[in-house]
Amino acid sequence: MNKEKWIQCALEKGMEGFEIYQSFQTEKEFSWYEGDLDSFVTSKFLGTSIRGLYNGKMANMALESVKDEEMDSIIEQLILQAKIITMKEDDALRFPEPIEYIDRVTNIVYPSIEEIKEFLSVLEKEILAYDQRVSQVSSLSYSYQKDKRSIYNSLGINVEEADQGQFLVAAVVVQEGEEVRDASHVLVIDSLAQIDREEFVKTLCDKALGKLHASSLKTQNCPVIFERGAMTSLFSAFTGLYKGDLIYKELSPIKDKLDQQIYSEKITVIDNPRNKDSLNQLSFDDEGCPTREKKVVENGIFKTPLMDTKSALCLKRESTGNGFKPGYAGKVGVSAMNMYIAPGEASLEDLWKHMNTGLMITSLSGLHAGIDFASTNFSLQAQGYWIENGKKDHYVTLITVAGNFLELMNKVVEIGNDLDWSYRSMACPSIYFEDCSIGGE
Amino acid sequence: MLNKKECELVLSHAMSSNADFAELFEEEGVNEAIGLLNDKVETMNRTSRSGIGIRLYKGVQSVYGYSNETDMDSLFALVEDLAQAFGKAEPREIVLEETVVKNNHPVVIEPLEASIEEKIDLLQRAYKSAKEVDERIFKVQSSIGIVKQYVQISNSNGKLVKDTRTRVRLAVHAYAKDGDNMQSGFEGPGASSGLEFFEQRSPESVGKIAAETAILLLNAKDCPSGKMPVIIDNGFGGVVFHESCGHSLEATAVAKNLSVFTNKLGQQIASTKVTAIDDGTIPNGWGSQNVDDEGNLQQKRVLIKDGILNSYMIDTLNGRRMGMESTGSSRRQSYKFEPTSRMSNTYIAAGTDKFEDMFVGIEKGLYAKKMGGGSVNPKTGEFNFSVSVGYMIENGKITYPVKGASLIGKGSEILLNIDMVSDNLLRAQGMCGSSSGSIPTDVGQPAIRISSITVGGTANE
Repeated sequence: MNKEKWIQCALEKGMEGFEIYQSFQTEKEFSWYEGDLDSFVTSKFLGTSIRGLYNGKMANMALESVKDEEMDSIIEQLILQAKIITMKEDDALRFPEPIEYIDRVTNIVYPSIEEIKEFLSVLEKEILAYDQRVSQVSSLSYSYQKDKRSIYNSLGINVEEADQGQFLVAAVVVQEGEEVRDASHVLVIDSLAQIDREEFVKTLCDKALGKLHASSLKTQNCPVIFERGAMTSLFSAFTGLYKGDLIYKELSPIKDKLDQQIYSEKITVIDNPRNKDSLNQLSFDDEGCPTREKKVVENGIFKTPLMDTKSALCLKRESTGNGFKPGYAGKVGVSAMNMYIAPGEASLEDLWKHMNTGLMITSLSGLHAGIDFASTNFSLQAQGYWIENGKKDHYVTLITVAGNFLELMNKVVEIGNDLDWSYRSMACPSIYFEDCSIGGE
Repeated sequence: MLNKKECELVLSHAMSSNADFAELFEEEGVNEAIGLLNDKVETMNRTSRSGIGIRLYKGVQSVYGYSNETDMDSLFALVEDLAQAFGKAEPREIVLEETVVKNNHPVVIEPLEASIEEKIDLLQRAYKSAKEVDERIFKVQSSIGIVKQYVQISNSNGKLVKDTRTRVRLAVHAYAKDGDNMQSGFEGPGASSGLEFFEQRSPESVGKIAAETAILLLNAKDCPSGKMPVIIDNGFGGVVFHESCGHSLEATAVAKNLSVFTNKLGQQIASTKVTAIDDGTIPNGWGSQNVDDEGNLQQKRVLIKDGILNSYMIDTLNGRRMGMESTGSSRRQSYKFEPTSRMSNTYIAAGTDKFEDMFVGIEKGLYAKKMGGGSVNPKTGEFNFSVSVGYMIENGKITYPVKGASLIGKGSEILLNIDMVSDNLLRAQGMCGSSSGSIPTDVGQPAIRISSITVGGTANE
């Protein structure tokens, strides 16, 4: 793709600005099943998306096959798309700004195919040997991914950034009598040699074995701890609350609550795409705007929406560097990146002791359907442990947890200190709440 | 797309290894989406897709690679990369013979060729209709999504098949506000069809239903929790079967003994009132195809007949593991996904009970009028789905609307607890996400009654 030629062509045809975004990805994944290589997936993919301004309106298009000879007709189509946009709000491309690039010291060592096979083979045997109730390693895979994204526009932006990662994923099934439970574990790794296999096997298997002898609960309201994984799931489902575009369109339930108390004063929410502990770190967003750390909620007070260029223009503020695409083909929208709730002082065990009796929820299912964003009501399938006299008692399943997110976040008793970024781009510590509505028998 | 000779060259190269099967899945296509906020056009996006997925098997092992670099040198390099997993062998020459497949899903008004104004007009009509429902409707988001997909599938057994898929879907989110109380409603019908689909399913009806849902929820009370009888209405209520049972009947789960229904063929797994079908051949159905994504003709599969497990949904690779033939159930989102067994248009067949009779004898229960989505863990069979609009049933009568409810249970138990199946079968459209990506599927059922299921709500006493 002759990028300069495309820009020139777009400007000649009357566009006020033009931008080319490219994402190049290579991936390999090896899956192991019952003593043999089960599948191997390899890919190499270059995605290109273009966007251009015409009369202040932005049009977007994505291409998987770019041919310079089709440039004229594609740009004419793009102009046609921009012309049909009738929203009064204008959009803009960005000018270049100084970017402080994140220092990516990497110790990644890529293994050979033989090393991968040997590692997975041994690991599968060790998982199966851990306990006689381990009936199956249902999923075991090693993968790596290398990404590079670049932005080039008519205002002078010419930036690119690359990232890479290796992952080990395992899922296990355990069985006792008729009862079947499962669990999975993910590690982001620099090298296979660095993995403590014994620790990995123990974490994975204990997670699944701890779920045996499960029972439901009686329907009730009771004190609840959302363990960090479950808290992260619930919190992630409501990050739309802070999005500048939804606030401008009056679709966010906290649209008119800026500088007001929305949560318990114990809650502080921070968004930091540069967070070195998280899975991905990004020096600039998908519009080329430098990223930065910002407090979105401070001591319960809503301090700033997250914004891309367009929503910042609408709200007459500055972009927070949160303009991200949901994949190379999607259009830029507002997105949280490495957002988290600031941790407190108490360990998870302290939270159990302080709650004494109640429910600890460890995982939630049905988040794509059981959340009503407009009202912030939620009703979800939950699993966890009953806590009795400050200790883990037994595993609980086939229950629901329901409530209203804004109300729940005002019922915080105590926040844990167990923030865990490992393979996440969003994180919460465990949080103990006064009560929540539990549905069961 | 590659020509026949080029396909043969790539396949022959792939089979010059210890692989016993090779397949090329080529795809070209366009996705177009236009979105309105109220009566203003907010976005229009177009994606042109083009790429290839190459798969090799050796026994039950598979290797898969994809790329959007489709020149012969890149494809040979990709094949080399894949074949190294199995090792080199004597060259084999593959000769293809094209099978022409009949198109059962004709398109009258090509949606990509229709004018943009025509498509915007459909959205404007949906918006106006939604606004007219009630003055408390303050925002309406509507969109039309169009997918055109051309596929060419060839394999080392000499198969060469082409198929064209065209899909349209209109989605409307309506938002209602009364003071601080904000609620939303959704409706999103679609079909494997051209724009003529909206002659039978008018945009006005779509906007109206979304808006009426939002208004109803403004006045809905919190739903109570606990075990109770539940009547699940027809149409999207079929998501219950999709989640609680459908995924567990896919060979992806069955072949590796990850499903509660493994080794249960011929056994009673549901109430005798239940006959369940997965039919990928329904003319113009949202989840229909002429051929599956391995090039096998789509089929109508009777999964459960009068409560007895009759068939799984099987793709070729998992079929090898199970010692069974493919049922034409292999699907994928695009060339970026290795295909596997998936649902198409899945529904519970009409029964003989009358809808009105289902309420008789219920002292306290829930009428789930409109369902949201759900999910399942096939290993444990535990599933959940959300009720977006419900009504309480008290002493056999509908009393008041409720919101914020979910239903949970175990698939193996819920099917046995269906005690009434009415005669008003209706299908509805959804997107199903699983290991081979997000694909269009129909769910469907007549109204069914479940004698007891756990309802999760917020109004605990």
